[in-house]
Amino acid sequence: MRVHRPLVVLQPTTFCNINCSYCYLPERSRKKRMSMDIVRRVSSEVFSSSLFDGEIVFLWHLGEPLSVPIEFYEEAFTEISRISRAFSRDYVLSFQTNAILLNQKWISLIHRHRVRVGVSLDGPAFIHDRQRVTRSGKGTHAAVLNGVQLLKAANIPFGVIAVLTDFTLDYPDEFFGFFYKHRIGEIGFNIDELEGVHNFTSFSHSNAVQRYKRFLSRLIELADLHKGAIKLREVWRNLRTIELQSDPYNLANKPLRILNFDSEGNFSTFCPELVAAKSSKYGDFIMGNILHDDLSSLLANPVFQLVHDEVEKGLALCKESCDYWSFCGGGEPSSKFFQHGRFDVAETTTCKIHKQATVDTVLDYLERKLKPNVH
Amino acid sequence: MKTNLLDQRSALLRNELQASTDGQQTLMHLSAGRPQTDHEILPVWEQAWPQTWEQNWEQTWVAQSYMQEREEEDLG
Repeated sequence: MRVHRPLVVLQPTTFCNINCSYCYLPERSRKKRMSMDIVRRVSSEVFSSSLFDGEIVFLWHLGEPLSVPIEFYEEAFTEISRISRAFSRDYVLSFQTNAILLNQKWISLIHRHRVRVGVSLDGPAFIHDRQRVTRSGKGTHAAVLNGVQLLKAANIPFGVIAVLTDFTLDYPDEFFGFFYKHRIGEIGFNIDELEGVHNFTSFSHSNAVQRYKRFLSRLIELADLHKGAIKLREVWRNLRTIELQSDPYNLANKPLRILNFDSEGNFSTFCPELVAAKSSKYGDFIMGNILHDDLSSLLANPVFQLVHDEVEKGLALCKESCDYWSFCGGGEPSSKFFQHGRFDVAETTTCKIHKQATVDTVLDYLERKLKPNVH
Repeated sequence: MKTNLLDQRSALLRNELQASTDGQQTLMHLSAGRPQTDHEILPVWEQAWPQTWEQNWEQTWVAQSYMQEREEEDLG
């Protein structure tokens, strides 16, 4: 097994400075911090491993990365750079952040280390502030926009992840208009789904699919009308599949394509969301600890083998039973686990909305616009 | 992998996208500059990076005249 360009997800801290209503992280009020020994061990293992080729992509996530003192990253980035040189390997650094704590010091760090940035931002204030709130319940939109302005002023490119809830679906024009006005051109969606300690989804009602399709259809129309000023990940991914007939691929269900390291050094593969999950059947998804185990031991780990076996069975079911396979490449393992408690299953609510309804909407839009004869 | 109605629709659209001016324009508006293979795809910050902010907005996909229009609107 050899994996190209793995995504290494690191949890620098369990803590988050805000308290979003849909957050799946159970320990976001605790301030556990990753040690520099873990950073060094992870770097040595991934850079020296024959399991990987291409550059290594490090993503600091699973807690608010900027809530850790900047000195942590100054040292961590220095160590990663030093160890990469020893093994002649390339790498990429990235933050997924709520952007609230950004200031000139962070901007300088991001510039100097060419850190790629993803910002979590749910659209205009009246949408964003319903969910993305402080512990006292106050909206965070204004503070996020301050961070966004700093990134833009420093000419640092970034993408946005917006979590959609059922409420958002009534406001496609406002949603698009917000990002357009602020010249934020790269947007991906996640949906408010059952995940970790978040045991409710606003998409569970019977007309959720229709409402989502209406919302997305209008967004595509606006993106097209505004000449591509905003690129929607969910749209261009499916367009690529149509245009290039590429093989379906979902990196979250490929072993070792994503490697997750929690703040204590426990590691796992598949979806990062599983880091926050508890399960006696799956040993809390701990497939080793980098302070005691080599990364290569993961493949022989009984938890990995159990999860991998079920994920493969689930993918076989997806391929056999789902018409959307050629677009999707199989459902997210974490969605399967959080909805069904297992991986050897096919369809989830997330599939119906985020995958299937998206494909339907993109195809419908193109057919309306280009009018090919469908038989 | 079985062929289904979605795959058939997809094949018809592929032809339209490649053959017609409308199709080419739609691709440019909705997916220009995106990774060519799914294997390159990583979370959203990956897509933003290789094109700088200026390239992304002012040079590549958004025509200069369109940007001028916007600036006038902003000023107005």
